[in-house]
Amino acid sequence: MTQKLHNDLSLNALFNEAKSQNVDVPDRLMSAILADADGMQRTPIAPVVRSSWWYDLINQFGGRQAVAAFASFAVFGMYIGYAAPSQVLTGFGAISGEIALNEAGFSGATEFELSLLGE
Amino acid sequence: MPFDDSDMHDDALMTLYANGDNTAASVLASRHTSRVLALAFRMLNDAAEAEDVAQEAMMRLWKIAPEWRRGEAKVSTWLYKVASNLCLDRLRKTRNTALDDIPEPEDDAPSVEEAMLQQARAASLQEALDALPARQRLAVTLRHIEELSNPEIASVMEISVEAVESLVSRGKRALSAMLVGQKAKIGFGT
Repeated sequence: MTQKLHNDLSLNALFNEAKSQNVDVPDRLMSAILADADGMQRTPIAPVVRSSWWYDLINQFGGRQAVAAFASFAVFGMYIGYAAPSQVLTGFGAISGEIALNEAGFSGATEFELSLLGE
Repeated sequence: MPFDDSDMHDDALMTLYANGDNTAASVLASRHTSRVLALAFRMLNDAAEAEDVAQEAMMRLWKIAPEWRRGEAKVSTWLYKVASNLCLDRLRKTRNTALDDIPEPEDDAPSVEEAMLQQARAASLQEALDALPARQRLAVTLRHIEELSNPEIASVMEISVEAVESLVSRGKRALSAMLVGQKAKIGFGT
């Protein structure tokens, strides 16, 4: 017990001496730490930029909405080009034309299709 | 904006730094670097490595500044935690270092007797600390040299207070056992 107490006192004396020893921070270390701090502050937070050619191209034409409008008009133009004049005149001719044929007594199948069925 | 840094809380300094105030970084660095450096040196017994650890720990502090939440943690405890982990990582990588590789204290330097004894005591303590398992060394250093409380050490090491007490107790017993044979050499002989 006495020996343990003596050991503890010796150890505590060593710890106290260690505590009293000041650690000097070298100037070069402090300079490096402050340079790091400065560098971290100056690092800009880069905004997320979409830089793909696809987005660039869309932007050239006025953005997504403008391109969507162009595409709609293009599809509608192709429809006008392919559809028969009567269908164009009736608006959505495919539907009204089919109704007109049904009313006239046609089943909607062509002669070629009927021949394939053996009729 | 100039401010009186003497009483400013670390949390406030962190906010100022995050908002672009360089002076806050200077105050924080001068407050905490020496502690971190001292701990790293106790753990690694290598000045260059200790400086690397101190710089890395402070770098991480600058990085975390924009997300720092007031009152959640003390800057000093947070830094001790980061520095401890960095030291333990380095020790894991150099675990094969034999105790015999640690240089003996220089005892032939021209000096007065007491200074020589003090130097020998410091070297003996460091040598004994180096011989402890890393986590015991960390716990003893934080408790008896850096003077942290057991709950603070538990927070730094992410273990329970009971585990801290156990580590410190075992560490001190091992240190006593190692130093008992050197009592005459370090001036504690009876």
